Amino acid sequence: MQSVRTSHFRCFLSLVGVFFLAACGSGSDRGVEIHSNSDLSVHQAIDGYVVNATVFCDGVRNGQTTAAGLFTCPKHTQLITVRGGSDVGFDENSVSGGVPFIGELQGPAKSRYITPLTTVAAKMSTSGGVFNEQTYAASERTLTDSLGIPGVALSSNPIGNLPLLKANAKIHQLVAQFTTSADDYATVTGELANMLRSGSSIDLNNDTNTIISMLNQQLLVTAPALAQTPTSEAQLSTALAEKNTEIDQSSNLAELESVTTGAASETPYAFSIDKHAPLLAYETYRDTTFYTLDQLQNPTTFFGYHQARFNLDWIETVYIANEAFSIKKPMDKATVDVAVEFKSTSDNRMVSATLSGVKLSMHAEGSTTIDVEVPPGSIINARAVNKQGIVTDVSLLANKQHLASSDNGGFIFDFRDVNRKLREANQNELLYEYGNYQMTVVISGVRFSVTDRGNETGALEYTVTNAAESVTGYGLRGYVSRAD
Amino acid sequence: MPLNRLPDTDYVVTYPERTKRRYLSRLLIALLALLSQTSAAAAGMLSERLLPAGGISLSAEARTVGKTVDHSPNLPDGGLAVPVKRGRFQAHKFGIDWQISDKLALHSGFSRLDFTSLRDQYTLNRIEFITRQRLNRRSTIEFGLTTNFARSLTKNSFTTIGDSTVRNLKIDNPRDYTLHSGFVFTIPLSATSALSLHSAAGFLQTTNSGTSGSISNGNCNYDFDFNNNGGRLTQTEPCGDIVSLTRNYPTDQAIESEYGISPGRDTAYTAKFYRVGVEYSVKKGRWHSSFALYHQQLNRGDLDQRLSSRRLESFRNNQTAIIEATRLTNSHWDFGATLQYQRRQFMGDVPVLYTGMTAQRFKDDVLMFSLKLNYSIH
Repeated sequence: MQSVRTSHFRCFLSLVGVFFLAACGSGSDRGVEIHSNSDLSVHQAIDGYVVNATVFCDGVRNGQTTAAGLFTCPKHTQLITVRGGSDVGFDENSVSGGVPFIGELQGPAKSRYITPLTTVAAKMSTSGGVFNEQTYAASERTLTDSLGIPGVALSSNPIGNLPLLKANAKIHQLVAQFTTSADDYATVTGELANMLRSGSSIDLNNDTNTIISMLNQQLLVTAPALAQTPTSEAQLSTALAEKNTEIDQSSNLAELESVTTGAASETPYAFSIDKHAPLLAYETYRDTTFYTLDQLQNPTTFFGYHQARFNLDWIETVYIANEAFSIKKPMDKATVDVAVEFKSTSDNRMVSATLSGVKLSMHAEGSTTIDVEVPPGSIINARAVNKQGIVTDVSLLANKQHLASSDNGGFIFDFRDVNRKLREANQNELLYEYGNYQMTVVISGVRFSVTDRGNETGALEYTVTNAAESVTGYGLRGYVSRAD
Repeated sequence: MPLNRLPDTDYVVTYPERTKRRYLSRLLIALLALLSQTSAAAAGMLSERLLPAGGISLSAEARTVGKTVDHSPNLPDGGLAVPVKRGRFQAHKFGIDWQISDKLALHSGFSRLDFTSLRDQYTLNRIEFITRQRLNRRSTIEFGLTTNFARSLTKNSFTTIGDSTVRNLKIDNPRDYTLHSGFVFTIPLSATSALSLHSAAGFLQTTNSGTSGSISNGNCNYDFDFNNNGGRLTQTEPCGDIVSLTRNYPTDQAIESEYGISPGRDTAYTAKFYRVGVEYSVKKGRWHSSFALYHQQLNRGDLDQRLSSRRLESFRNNQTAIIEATRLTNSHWDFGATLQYQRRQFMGDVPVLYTGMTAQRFKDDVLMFSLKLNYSIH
């Protein structure tokens, strides 16, 4: 196993930490309910409808988007930010499924609709990190002129306005070509805004070379980790032109949804996991046992147990081995949401836990370095359902006691401490009960893949939900047993 | 409690006709009214033959126990209230007896019962209806329905359960129903005395619409709200690393699996009972007195078994002794006093008080005293 240079790869495995921590799970009761309150303004996040995304009103976290991308902010809000979630296309009733939205949308609070175009316009009106609401109208005019859609009000409802929807889709496609995480998305839209402030005209159909090149040049200076090589630049340009042509040829919402949904899987990956390399390991006082993703994903049982078997009574530590990771895009404190769910395969017991706003850094300089940092004050939200059907919803401060605490080859998790925390929280100790469990791990805000003997495919999308929040993103699903 | 203490009827027939009717009616009206008070569950001894057909009797009664307590409840924000001396039990009742015909009578009554302890105070209301039918000169049957009820019973005293302290417990809409039928056979012993044999059997049921309250565990405080099919526990404020916590219980069994107590099955039950008694009555001039003994046996089925399984004593019978005296004053007013000794206080009298959590409180005995004023219209 390669050594981990930084001390906290704690997170992905704070995923694990989270999961062991929580003993929770099950579907949420979250309803899509927008109250017409005079103190609140109602908005929608739309690329397709973006659901289960985290909402920030002037930087203050304020819940999640629901069906049709609906959410609210206090009336006095100036700038809205919507991060992550899932793009469910144009089904206004859908609250799950779709494609992970690896992005961050922004817009002025005076606009009901927050879209990729309002994101760029808002960034055009942002200087030194401060959004200037007064200049937004001018930025909007400049942007629509640059895109060749003069007079189109970005604050109007994109649903039912196909040209506006198409323009949004093209901007999103352009930005997505450079991004593997929501943080990247914010960076690239910022650079795009810087380019467009001057009023430069861009042609997203017939001259993608120019805009790709200009943007790449800008990124080489300000965010080199996101910049493309000349070869990649040419490939991106071609791919973008083809995609935009398909977008233009769409004659209705369904066709447009089909085109844009397909696009997401063609965008780059931040890292890849080798399906046959040791991934999950645990140590007892005697030895260390590794399981590969391939073993974890095998649902078959042998003598009643899955291949990945744990006897928690004997386990000293659990960790994720970083040698299974291949870093493709370095990341420096990218903001991601993580979630873990365990679900019994024989009854209704479940455990799910989510942790938002963790900082993920990944580098591949010599040896793989993965660093997961949990900001102070972060909250772990969890749900547990036990054999009696008792549903426990709990929110815990994710202080460092909850996390892995060693850098000796992986993120190591202290079971004893977690167990103590579980007892304090009156949590059900699902994982201390015998049984077979389906395990799901989700990272929202970053795109990654799985490599199976040289074949790379994008990770599948999953959603983990509890009473407080949902995390939708790319993830892994496997099976583990709690054995005697 | 003696649900069906039926008044004797025959020993008075040796009186001259006019005198008999006059005095007997006063005497028995008062006596029956007294009996109805001392026998809380049956509270309404009928005055069927004591009033002329169509006659009505109104009564008012006050009842208390000898013990007092310095009542000092816990205050919501901590500390204790200034102690106030109160009787541990007080009851006030208003009753109406209606002699529908020579053989048929109806009694109805409304009571307010106040129970006071060091920290807690419960108030219950009671309504009763009893109809009584004379079969012959010596035999009488009766049927009665009694209910005790309150909007809520709140227990503010702290109770320790394992590592937790229940700081407040409220049972919403507690209620019991008792349905009984009884038979009395009276044997005249002399011109002024008689012996009556009482028997009765019936069913009772207690119900409520839920249990709520607050509980502390270490430095963490929780509110709970349980109905008879599940409920919810909510942490009231951040506690250590736990910012919020909610536990939803889908069934009563789920709650029991965690706490060992079933709010539904421990606070609500059905029971069968029977009661036997003997009463000796004697009169002299304007005075009438009697002495009675009763034994009651209850079978609460599931609740008894649950208590036994938790190695708690299940009290299934109780005994009552009653001494009473009545003074006939004039043609409309009667005055009476009763002394009643209950072994295992209030058992079967106020069934709603008996729960899986409070059963042990019935082990004590109680001595009660009551005064009653009766006014008859005929």
